[in-house]
Amino acid sequence: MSRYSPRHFQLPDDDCFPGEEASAGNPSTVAPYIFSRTALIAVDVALATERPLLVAGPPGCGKSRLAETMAAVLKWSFVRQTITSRTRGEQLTVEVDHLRRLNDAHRAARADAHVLLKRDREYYNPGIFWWAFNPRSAELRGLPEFQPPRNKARFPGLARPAAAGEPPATVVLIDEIDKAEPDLPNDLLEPLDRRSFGLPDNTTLTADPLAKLLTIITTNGERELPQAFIRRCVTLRLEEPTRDVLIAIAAVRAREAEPALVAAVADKILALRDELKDSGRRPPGTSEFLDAVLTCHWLAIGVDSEVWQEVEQATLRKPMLREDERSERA
Amino acid sequence: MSVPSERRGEIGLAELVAALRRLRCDQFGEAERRGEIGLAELVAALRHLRCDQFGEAERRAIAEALGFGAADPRAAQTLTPTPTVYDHSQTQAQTRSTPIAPPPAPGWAVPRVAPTPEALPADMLACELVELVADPPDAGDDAQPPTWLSAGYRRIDPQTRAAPLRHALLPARTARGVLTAALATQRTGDEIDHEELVRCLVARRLPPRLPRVLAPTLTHGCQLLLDFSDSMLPWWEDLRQLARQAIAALGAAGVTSFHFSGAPAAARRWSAEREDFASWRPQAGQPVLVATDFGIWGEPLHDGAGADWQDFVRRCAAADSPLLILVPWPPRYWPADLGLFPQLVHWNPATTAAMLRRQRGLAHRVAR
Repeated sequence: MSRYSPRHFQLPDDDCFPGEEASAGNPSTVAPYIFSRTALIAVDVALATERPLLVAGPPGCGKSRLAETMAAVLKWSFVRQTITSRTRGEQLTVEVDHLRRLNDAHRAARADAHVLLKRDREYYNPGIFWWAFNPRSAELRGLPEFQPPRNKARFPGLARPAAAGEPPATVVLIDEIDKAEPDLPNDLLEPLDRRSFGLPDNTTLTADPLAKLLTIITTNGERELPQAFIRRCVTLRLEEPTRDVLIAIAAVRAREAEPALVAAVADKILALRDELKDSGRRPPGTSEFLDAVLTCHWLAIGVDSEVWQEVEQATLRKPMLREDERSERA
Repeated sequence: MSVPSERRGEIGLAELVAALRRLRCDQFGEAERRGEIGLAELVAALRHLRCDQFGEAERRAIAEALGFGAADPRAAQTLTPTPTVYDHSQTQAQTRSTPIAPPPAPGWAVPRVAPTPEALPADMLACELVELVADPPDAGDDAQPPTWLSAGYRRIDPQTRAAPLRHALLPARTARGVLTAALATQRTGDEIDHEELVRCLVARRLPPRLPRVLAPTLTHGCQLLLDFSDSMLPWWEDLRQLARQAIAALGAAGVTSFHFSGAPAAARRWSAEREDFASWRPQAGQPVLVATDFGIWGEPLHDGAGADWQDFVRRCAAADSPLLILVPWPPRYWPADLGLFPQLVHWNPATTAAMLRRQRGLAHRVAR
């Protein structure tokens, strides 16, 4: 099968992003990432259609890191929001800081009258969609340039400022959406569909028409998502990596480990997958494979050593039973 | 006499509104709503990505990423029951918990009438039995198999035979909404209840704590009690599907499935970790979803559900566990002796989330 050359970004011939080191302007490090052919095509389609990319797959297969890597590949800013059962749609668009306002009101009532800010928007906290749609407006909390807020909002992610004259460009990661309450995906339809959302003062914030945006949403598939939501997304399923892919990943993520050790741990992973699938338990993912490889490397042990059993328990099997329960059963 | 033309005067608001309507101003200023992904989007993506420069595999991958050409999800669906539900398809391993009752007669319930015995002739006729011997077949060395054996003959492979499609009691398109509405409980949300706060301040009363708006949540999960009795035999596949749907809506960690036959409080589940059956007991605040026909065999209940069910309802109420009972029969078959605590729902394809919410709201009003 021939190599797929994406139209919207460039990668080396081996489809491996070599990583990004931290620098003065960029405090975070981005680890190397090997793109599968399916992932390349799906990301390219999402960029072409300007649709969100819904990435599914087992835990530890690189769903979230795909977003982080794409931000580095495209040299776009990166914001993320990890979803929990308490996450609300307003947190992703705009929230009003009522407590700060109440505090200001109390202080104003006592003596410090000038503390209370007169304009409602001074208390707006922009969410990740606002930052992606219009970073400048988010920084000013929706206030005009000539009357900026007393406290400007701060970018919540990794900013990679666009060159002069270039429009803002952002990769948005909405992580683990399956953890959300069922209404949240429906609340996201408007910002994803129209690239706009309502503000508390009944006005609408619309995205800068030139702003570039790649929204990546991940799910572990623990809960089903609404069909209306799925049908608005480009979908990608990251499968468990094969033995060759595991070895290739270790070659860039655990360079210090011996190839023979990497191959032996990869074989153990494949055997464990078969064993645990039969018992209905979750098989180890890529990140756990890397943990096992690095543990073996730093502890200088092999898969045939006595300590391996404990390493396997701690990094790969992760049993749910307590030790006393295991002893009791034995 | 000509009618004088109406003086129009200065341009007013009415004229502005009319002009905006003519210019279809509703199409300006608002972001375009894109809706669901359609064929046009696939065509645009293929053109934008210059599909003429790559092969069929890439084109297929692009179509699949946009939701086209994907395999039928029903084909990938395994027919094995969920791990938490006992495999009731293994019928030979089961033992009956109740004595065998005569099956009810189909159709109207009318008293059985014994057939009138046939009158036999009084005299006996003579008969003679002759042994028949078949001629040996003429199977020579040059005998050919009959032509029908190789022509117009198609072997049916049982492995590839597709299972017939069946209508589920809870179709996939409504299952998520119905189960979400049925199993949601209320919790204190993050949003401040402004109305309550203003009400307190106006009354010159300081609220003891900051009032917050209640928000529906599924974090409590649910206990799923499935009635695998003989009376429910026509819906056993629906019971298995209900377990799968509940897990899809709430997550595997949120659903604990039990099965019972007879008394619901005697429900139990197989615990893989303990390698033993675990008995049901209500968990405080966790909703309980029961799917049952109350063992009625299609006959309306005249004497109520019985002491077992009343005891079960009492236990759920004592634990403050919301109780929802799905019944595959319409309301005239439902028992009337369970009180207002359980919410009984007709388990059929027409059931919607809105019906559940409405029913629950009505029950709360009646309870108040």
